[in-house]
Amino acid sequence: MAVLAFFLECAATAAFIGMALSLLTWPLLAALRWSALRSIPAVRADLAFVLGTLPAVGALAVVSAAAAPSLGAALGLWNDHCSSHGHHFHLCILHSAGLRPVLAAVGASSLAVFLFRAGWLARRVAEMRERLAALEELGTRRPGAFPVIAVPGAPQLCHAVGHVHRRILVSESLAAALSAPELRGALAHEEAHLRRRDPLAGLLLAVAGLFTLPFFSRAFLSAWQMAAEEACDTDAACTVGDGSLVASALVRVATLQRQAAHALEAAPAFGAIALEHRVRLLLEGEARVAIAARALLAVGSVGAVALLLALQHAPFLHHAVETLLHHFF
Amino acid sequence: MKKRTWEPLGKLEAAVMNVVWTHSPVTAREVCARMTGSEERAYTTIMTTMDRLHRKGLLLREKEGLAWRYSPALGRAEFEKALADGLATEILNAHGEVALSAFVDAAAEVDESLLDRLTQLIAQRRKGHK
Repeated sequence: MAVLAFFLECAATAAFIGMALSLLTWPLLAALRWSALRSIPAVRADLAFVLGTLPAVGALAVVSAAAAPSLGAALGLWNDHCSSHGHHFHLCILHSAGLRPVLAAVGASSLAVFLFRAGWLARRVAEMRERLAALEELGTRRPGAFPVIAVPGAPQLCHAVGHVHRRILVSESLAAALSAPELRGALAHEEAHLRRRDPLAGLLLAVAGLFTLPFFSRAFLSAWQMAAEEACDTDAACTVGDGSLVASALVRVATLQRQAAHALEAAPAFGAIALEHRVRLLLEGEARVAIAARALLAVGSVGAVALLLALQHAPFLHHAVETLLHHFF
Repeated sequence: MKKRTWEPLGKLEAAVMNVVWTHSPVTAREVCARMTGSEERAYTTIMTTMDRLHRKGLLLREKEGLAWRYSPALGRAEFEKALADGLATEILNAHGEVALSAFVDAAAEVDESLLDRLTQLIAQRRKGHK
């Protein structure tokens, strides 16, 4: 019973902290539209990624720290902390203060929703890997720093894939329909995604989104995607030396995808990233800065620092969480 | 009319289809005779697999005496193209953001007039720079 109560209390705390941090960070997405950041989309993408993962990082750090004294005592690493406080609610795996109905309900529903969404995400990733493997088996691989796999079929694909083994998937028919400079622009864009490790970052954002409501996770993901696309457009324009070439490739690919979608009676793409906006930015010709992505490094560092700080102040955070739960439930 | 979508073939199914594509029309016994080494299977296994491929719509068959003679419903290239289309559509529709970064994402929401307008805009800009 004490173990169940402890896990439900931890789940409720994680949900509470995740939501609170989402509410605090969500308005900051508006700051990404500042003109100072407009010309450096890579920095904007990094910031959107950090903001998107902050609720998860914060929730994990706080729950780890709040659970540490009790878990430490259970493992015999720390002294039993329970004698030092008995005046309020008790977050402890050894000595439960009893299951509070509202807290238990919040914890159980948060845990159930989290597990459902996590399972769904895991299934999608597994299905995706399976289908990508089947698709790649049909294609021909051109080796390189980032291998390009040309697959048969309608001109639907020009995508960067791979969380670890990074590669580019392109429809043979799409590659054939583009002029050589346009294809170079499109591939340069995808290579920029792979250098930035965007497929991995997208997955991490989706995982971090489990710690908040779908509305917030979609908002963070969308802001990051838009900035990442612009960053890769800028990178590709710098690589091929002509923004209008990349813009032309964008329009050509969109046209081909649209025709393919009609033929296949399917939506050719998954997002809603404004084509017109990207084309206009590429044609504007204003000095846009192509810089390397630091999002994964930044979040890794922020996460490590947050966890270290949280563990360093574990007794304080433990009591703070207990007090919070005591007042709310 | 909605295009038929295909599922990827299993290892044995793929081996059987390879024989059918190269030696069609064939009976199950002829396929069995051509599958040697690691691909060797019992005649009944091959017969069941070919029956399953027929029910999936990949093989056509005609009675010849007591046996069925099979031929492919579509050629290898045609099948691979249709399979690739189905897989790509499924990947893009259902699994996008967890593993892909697209070059163009907005195609579903752009209309032809927008594409024309953007093409003209690019052409004008290029003209202006010359």
